[in-house]
Amino acid sequence: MALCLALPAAAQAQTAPAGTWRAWAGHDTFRFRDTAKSSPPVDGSPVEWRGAGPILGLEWDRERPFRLHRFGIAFSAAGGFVYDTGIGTIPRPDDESARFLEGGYEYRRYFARAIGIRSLHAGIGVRGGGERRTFERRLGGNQLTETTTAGSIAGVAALRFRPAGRVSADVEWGNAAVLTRGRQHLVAGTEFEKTSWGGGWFTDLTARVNVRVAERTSLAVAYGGRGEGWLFDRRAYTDERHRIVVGVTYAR
Amino acid sequence: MRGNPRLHLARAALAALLATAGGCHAALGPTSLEDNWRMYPGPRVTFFVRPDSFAEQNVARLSEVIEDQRSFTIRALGLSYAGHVAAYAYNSGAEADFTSDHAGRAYPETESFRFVAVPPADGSLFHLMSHEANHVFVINGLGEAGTYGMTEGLASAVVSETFHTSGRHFLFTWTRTQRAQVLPLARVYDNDAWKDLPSQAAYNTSASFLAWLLDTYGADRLRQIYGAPSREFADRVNAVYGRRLESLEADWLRFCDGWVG
Repeated sequence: MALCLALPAAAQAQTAPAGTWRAWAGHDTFRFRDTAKSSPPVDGSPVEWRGAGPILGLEWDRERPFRLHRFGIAFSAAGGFVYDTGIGTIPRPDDESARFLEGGYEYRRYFARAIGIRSLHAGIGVRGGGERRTFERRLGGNQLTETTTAGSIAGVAALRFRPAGRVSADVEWGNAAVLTRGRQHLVAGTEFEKTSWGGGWFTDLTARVNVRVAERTSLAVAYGGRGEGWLFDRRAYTDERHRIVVGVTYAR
Repeated sequence: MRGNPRLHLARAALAALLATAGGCHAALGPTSLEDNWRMYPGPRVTFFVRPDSFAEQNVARLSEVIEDQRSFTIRALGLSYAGHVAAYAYNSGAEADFTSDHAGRAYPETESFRFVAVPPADGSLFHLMSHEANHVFVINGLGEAGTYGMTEGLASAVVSETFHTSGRHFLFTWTRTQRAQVLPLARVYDNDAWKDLPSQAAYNTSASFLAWLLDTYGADRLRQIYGAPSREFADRVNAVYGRRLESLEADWLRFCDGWVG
């Protein structure tokens, strides 16, 4: 997910900065449900595997008034998993985890003409990304490790609001197609391993508010939500990820 | 409506963006978890039933059957799985988004399954429930099968008959009396062909063959062919059993011909 935390403060001026660095951290929740039928109406498990943990990220932007190049990388590790049965939760073994390493590049253009009110601009972009995720499961004493490597291409619609003051805001909405390679390794007395190609999609929404605190420095708070669907040979699942992060931006 | 048209346009654009955010997920994702359940924990399987439903009235019996089924499957296939499973019983197929009142689905990665529980509480219902539970036990004990035929067949092949005769007795009798419906095994274990086969006949054919194979040659060999994909299935059978699939198929049909239940 291209989670940008802050708009470059210097971008409010018409002179373009050489680049903007952003470091951010926050809390990420992960919800997983395996599906028995992936076409609508999707048949999802009545039980949800749910965990949460920290997320860290770093981004670099190069921005002209109406163009944006963005590179980003993020890592998150969810633990403390439970099964949510709909009417309660059941703790899972402590060593169950879900780890995500993701990175990407986005190119975006904003329309020069403000929409409705001054300083509000719409934009469209395209985002390419890569991700590696690993789930560690303990199923009835057996150890299941699922490793997935994926590449995605997303279309992005965005709104940015940058009035003359210290506060600005962004909203981004992306929809992506995903190509993936998944591996399951089960240790259950004997070992079982299966790899397969797969496909998927995701929809994400990011909203952020940025406050400039110095000439080149900004603070930001952002929310990101994402829904995903993954389909492999003989198995499928959907998941949701929600994150709240805070970060610091430095414009060179 | 009166006011600044540009301001309205901006508000409308923002509202549309927010309203459609997650729209793909809403359409392509599952519905939210339900909370209209009463929970009945068991030693290895916890039941979730609708308040005052047929399933709730019979939950003790359902629990007795499924706990026996779990023990039977673990023993029959030599599995090491020791997990706790959640079973969700629905009042009708429509309520569960199934196409009939005799249907269920399994979700091995979240150790759960759901099924429709309608009267009577007999072998048909117990078989359905056991079949779905077996998917959870088997996949978490052996991994994913290589073919649809193996996945669905094995889940019925190891249905316990402690409380009914809808397991082996039914399968071998069906094979003997409904020979015209019995499908060639080469097609049953071909994933490309599977979805074009009549589903009940495909399930029964595979289950009957695998039950016979398990009884005749044991679990160790069956586990060795379990993960074989379609293109390797016949060769794997030949390597593990020392006989061609067609030869085993002929023996199985002869056995069923002589089956008297």
